[in-house]
Amino acid sequence: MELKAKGRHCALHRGTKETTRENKTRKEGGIMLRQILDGFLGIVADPYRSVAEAKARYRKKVIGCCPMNIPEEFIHAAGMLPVVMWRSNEPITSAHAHMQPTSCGIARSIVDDALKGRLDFMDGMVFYELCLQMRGLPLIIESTVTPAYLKFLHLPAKPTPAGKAHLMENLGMFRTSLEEFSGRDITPQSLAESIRVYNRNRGLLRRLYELRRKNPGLLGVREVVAIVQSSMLMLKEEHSELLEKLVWELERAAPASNKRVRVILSGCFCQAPRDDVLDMIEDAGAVVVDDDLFTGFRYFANDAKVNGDPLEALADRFLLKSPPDPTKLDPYRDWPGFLKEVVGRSGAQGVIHLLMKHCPPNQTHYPDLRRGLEAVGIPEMFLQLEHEAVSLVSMGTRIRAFIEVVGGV
Amino acid sequence: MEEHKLNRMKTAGLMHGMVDKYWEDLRLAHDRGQKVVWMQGMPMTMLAAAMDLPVHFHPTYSAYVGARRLQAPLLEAAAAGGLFPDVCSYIRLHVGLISLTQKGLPIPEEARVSLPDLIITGRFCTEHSTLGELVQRMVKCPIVVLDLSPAGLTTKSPESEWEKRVTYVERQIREEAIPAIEKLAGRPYDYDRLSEMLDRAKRVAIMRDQVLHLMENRPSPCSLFDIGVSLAPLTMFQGSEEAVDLFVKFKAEAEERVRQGVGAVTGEKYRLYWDGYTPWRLLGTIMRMLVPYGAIPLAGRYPIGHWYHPESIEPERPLRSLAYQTIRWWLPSMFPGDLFVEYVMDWIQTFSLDGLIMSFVPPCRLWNMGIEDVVLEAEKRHGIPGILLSVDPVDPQYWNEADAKRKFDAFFEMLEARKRG
Repeated sequence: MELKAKGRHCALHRGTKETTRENKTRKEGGIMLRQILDGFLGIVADPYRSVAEAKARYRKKVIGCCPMNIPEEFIHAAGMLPVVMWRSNEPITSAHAHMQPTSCGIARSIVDDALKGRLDFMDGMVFYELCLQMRGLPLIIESTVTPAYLKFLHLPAKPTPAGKAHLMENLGMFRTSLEEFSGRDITPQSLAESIRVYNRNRGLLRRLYELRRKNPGLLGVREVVAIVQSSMLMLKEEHSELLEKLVWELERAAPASNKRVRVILSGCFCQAPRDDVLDMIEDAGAVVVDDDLFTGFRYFANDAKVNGDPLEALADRFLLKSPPDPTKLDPYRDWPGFLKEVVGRSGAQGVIHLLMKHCPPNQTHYPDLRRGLEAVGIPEMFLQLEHEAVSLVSMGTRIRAFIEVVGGV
Repeated sequence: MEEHKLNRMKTAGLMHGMVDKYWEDLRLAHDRGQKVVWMQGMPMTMLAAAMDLPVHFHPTYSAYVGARRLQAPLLEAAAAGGLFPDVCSYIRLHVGLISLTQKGLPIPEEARVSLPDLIITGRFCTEHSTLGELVQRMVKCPIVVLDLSPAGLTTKSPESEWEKRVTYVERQIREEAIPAIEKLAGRPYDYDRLSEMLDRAKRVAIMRDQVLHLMENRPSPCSLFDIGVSLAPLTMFQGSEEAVDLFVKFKAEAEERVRQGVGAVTGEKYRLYWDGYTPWRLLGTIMRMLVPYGAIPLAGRYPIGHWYHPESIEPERPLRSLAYQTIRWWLPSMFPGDLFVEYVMDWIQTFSLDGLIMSFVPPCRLWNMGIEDVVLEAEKRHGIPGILLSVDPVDPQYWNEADAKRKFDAFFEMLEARKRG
């Protein structure tokens, strides 16, 4: 993974007219801000090392969760460290003995990492039927690396009485299996407490996004993605502590006079977008003001209820229909309508859709999404990304052209 | 050098006329004032058929269009609408069909069908339910999405866990699918009719299993592709008297062949497992490529998985039976889990197989996932080799005949060398 972006387009590097004392305070705050940001960037730059270190530091078992919607609170309540599995930047080799190159990058990457022993520090893995590709992973993982704990969940995202009842039944079985593995009971109280911990983190991330909307350019897009993705890799309490400090500093940051073209990023399920693509978007003169990415708004959009049955609260959270999710059972989802709201709240001038190759949920819904945005007059372009190298030159040209058109050049 | 010939089953040919009539009836359904249901999730299609509602089952439509090579304008229309070429060809076919129909643009007459008045889609393949959603957005008719999945269930799962999943599926059928069908049909659901149809489907499936048992003989009286063609009575005409009559004849012909020692391929030499779809568009082509080697495909989860273990069907409990068949037997055959592996390992022994041809469709992750591991396991457990072969039942871009020939040459050379020891 590429190392830290030094706040390429963010407000830290702008000068302001201030008193010496204010300037000193600001500089100290700026240094702390930079340290926190660099910390987050460092976590995502080498997640293998970061998570293994966290495991040693906290002496907790690590459970890798396949993206996107596994209720991590259960694992947290069992006293273990849930981490959302990531896509590596390494070429995929060993995985191709077990799956087609036409499978999506993150599915192949997880298998490749597992086969090469790069995930040996994980004590367990949890998968669910997000899509056909994730469905295939448990068989491959079980027959090759066989972690001590391997669970393939059936989580019907069907908000009918039958669907919710079955979802709760399966979450109950998940809870029991975690108790057996961890040797620790997951009581309603401990689960409720984990929900509160996660809600706190989600609330801070929503506040961060609010600040960015009001002050475009406050942070570079790569930094924002790193802040969210690092939450998926760290103990939530630790991440929230740092994030709270970051938010505090950002609330005092000078307003930006940002004349860049405001865009939102959409799509890119399951994995973080490539850093080089994010850099190209900003280099072309855009500022990212919002998103519905998985390593973005999707991850923290909704809280779980803190009153009542915590298992039911997590089931209800799983069944929520917003942000619209093509991997869930919802024939009436309105993805264009949702993006229209995001555009409205952020003042964005256009949408850049990051479409992962070999991702059927994204690919099959994209044409309708494009037509829906066209119908309401929202400029849109898509970039097809894949694990392997893409032609950045032609992609860069298209991005620049889009930004120029949207920006009225 | 021994010459090998293909002996086609006469009764397989009888099905062509029935299949043509089936699609003609679907084409004319709206003209006749009938309401049409588009369904995904065999054996669930019987739910609508029991109420005399014409049923469009999208894999059978795709097979029909693919076999008659009518797919080109439909796939082109889907591409023009923005669907990527590596999206499931069944999805592209149907989106293209609806697009051309709604715009009044030319469609090959045999490929025309009535658009749905109700969609009942099954999320056993996530692309199936995606197709249902795409169709619903284009046609704007009611839709029921059934969550059909054996995810997480394995050979080690206790029966109680299987039972919970079956109960969940049965509940969805009862609470969601039945009311939607009743509303469309304008009358209460006819459970007695459903039970009768299920009873006939059971009899057909038992006869089909008896034919499979006959295929353990050397030479085998019929090939897996004959079984594939004979899926029509098990899918499109499931539960009908015609299906029973047809299978009585099919089984009789197979039994007669066994008595006379007549094989589907003269001088049968290599007995094979064929994974993935029956290659509808290329059935003749592929058999013409395999037969010269004396090779015959005998086992494969796609044809065999339909109505597997029919002894478990209870016609007097139709909804539960449909749920049980779906979750316990049909879907695990196509899931990349240990059941898939065990099915194949079992069939290798049952049918005395010499090798595996794992046909795959690059955009079809339903069937692709796990095939490499099955090949590895077959080599490990039984010492038999396998090859992977790209074949799409509909889209020609995923078939390369020269590449297939090269692979077959190498494969059968290897099998011959192993036979000689």
